[in-house]
Amino acid sequence: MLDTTREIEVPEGVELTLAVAGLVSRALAFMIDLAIRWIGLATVSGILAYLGNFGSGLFLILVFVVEWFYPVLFEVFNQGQTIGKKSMGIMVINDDGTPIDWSSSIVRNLLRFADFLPVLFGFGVVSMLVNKDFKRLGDLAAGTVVVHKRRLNKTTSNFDQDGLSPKLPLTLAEQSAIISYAERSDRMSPSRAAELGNVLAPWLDQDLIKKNPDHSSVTLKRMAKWLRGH
Amino acid sequence: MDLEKVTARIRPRKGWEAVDLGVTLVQTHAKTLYKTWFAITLPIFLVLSTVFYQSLPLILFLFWWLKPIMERPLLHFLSRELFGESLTTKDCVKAFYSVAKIQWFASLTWRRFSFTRSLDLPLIQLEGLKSSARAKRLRVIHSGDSATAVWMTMIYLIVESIIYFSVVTLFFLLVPEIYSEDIDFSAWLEFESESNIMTFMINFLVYLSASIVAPFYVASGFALYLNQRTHLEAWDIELSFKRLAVKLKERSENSIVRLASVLAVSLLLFASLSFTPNQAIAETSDVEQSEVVEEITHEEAKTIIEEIKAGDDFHQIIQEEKNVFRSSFDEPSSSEPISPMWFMFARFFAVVVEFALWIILAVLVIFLLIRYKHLLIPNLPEKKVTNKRPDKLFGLDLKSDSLPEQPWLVAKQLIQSEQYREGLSLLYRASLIWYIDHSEAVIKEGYTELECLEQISKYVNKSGGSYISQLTSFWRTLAYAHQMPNVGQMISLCDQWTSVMVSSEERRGDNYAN
Repeated sequence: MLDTTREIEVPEGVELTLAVAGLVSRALAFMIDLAIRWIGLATVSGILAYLGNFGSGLFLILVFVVEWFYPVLFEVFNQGQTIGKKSMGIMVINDDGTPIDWSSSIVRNLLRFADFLPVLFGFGVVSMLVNKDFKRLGDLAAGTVVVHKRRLNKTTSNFDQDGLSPKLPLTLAEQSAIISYAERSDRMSPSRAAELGNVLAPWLDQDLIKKNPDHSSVTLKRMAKWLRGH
Repeated sequence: MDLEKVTARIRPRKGWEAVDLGVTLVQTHAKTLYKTWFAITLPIFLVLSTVFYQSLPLILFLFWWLKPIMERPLLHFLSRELFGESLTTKDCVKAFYSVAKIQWFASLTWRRFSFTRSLDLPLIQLEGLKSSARAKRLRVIHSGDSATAVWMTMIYLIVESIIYFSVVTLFFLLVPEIYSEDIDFSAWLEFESESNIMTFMINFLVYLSASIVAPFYVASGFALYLNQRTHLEAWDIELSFKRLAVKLKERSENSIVRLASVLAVSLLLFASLSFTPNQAIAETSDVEQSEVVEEITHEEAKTIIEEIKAGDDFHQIIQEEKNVFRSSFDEPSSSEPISPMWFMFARFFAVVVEFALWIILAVLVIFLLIRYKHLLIPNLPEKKVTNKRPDKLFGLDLKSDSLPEQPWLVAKQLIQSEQYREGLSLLYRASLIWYIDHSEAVIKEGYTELECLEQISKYVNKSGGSYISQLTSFWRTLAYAHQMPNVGQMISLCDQWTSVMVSSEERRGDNYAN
């Protein structure tokens, strides 16, 4: 099964699935960060221009610090997310799934230089297209990986019927299928929702289905409510 | 379209994740995709180059213009591959004409400038939609996040140029200066040159960089399209429900009688099953296991084990290669003028580093002065080491105020008045205190008599050593074994006390004199 995920088994024996982030989202995050840095520096340079030579010296220090440590500081103190990464919903973590630390962040960001070679991040781009985990050279050296942060589904359910327990033990995948059916059926076309519900109709309450063709959908939603617990 | 045969995991993704799935698709099927691409586009490019060899920009423009048609065999391959049907390069090239003619005119004219080209292509090529039906469907597909497709197009466009400029730069970095001097660098950046060979080279490089990106673009667009449909039509739910239905059907066929009775009696959900699937699995596997265990004899098991051990799993040899840089050559320093900004920066940096180095030097000097001050000032008064005496050792009170003025006399009197234990203990205590106070012996709390003896005998002369060892052995015999030592010897120990201690004192004095 092809997928863009990376499986990590934690010492507790739990397997975590992380969705690795690739070139396009990372490039956009980089461009956002670049714009923020340059706009910020341009603003500050306008102010420092009044200070003459001292100001330009100060500005150069600022350029150095911002260009090299903007990503490091954000990654370490902001859960692996620069502003650009945050707006793209991605984050940097260590290969083993732990939060990124100082040394990894510094290594991956210093090696940005290697990714930049020969010009305009040529090596980095090729590396991200070729590597299985979409890593650039800095990521390979630091042992880090950029992943998509999982969004939490907000379930605003206005479904007012009682929950209904399934009479058969369902596997986790089956349970989550029923729950996501209940959550997403509103956004599907009604005919598609009915079509999906009918797949399971032969094993649902036949009498009620005769009375109301929509019954399979309603029953599945009640079951989802029971499985979810609310 | 049979979802059961799908070779990629179907789950609702974010748009960006779907684009990444496209990259994974190319990584997995790179060989066929690139072979197909070059098999179709290379002849086209060469024909264009020969026909329009005089006008370089026109070749690139025409090639770019034809791209939507040339990308179609890639989608053809990917769409079949996703549902488990593997096509060869030959199949794809054969299919080129049939897929290329689908709505080719629209694709090459008013739809050519669409930023969502790769997302829209499956609609006409795979779903076969036309005009209004297509427009309607397009709105549905774009309802999710068509912005992702637009951004993706722009990023891949940038990547194309990055690859081109990287290759050119790498070329100039690696070609020795004597050869590269004659080459006009600006030609590569302006895509124009006067020499024909150069023209072709530039064209070919642009073509190559476009070729590298094209499969990624098609695959990412296709993955976006799949993701949109997964969201809209809940493919993942359909898959799970169908699997669940199949499972339920199998179970119900196994117990039709029960199904009938349960349906008749109650209208319960999923009541058609009398036992849970877990139980069913457990039961069957139990039966199988017991059969297996009975059948295999000891010898058979042994041969099976040996067969497995002779297999490949136990004979894997892993070779690792590592590149190690053994030496690097110092490059001659360049004589190029440095720009003033860099110069300023370098100057500033140099000042900071110089300042830091001076501070480090000062700290180092101060540290060395403190550390080795006794070498500089020879007669520095040395701190007198005072032995800390423990208050109690093996139950004996070692505070000096617990001793009488002349312990040896008191001890002698006690022994003579037949209080042997008290007398000997006083003498022993007095000796310990004296040695702790007057020699360098370090006695810690918790030492035994023998450990004390070992410590003390390091610092006493021969007579003192034999004295203290005799005293210790007397004390141990009396205190622990309850055996009476010779009274005369005890008294003589008391008599010797002063002389032994004085001789030790003299020796100490000698030491200091040296």
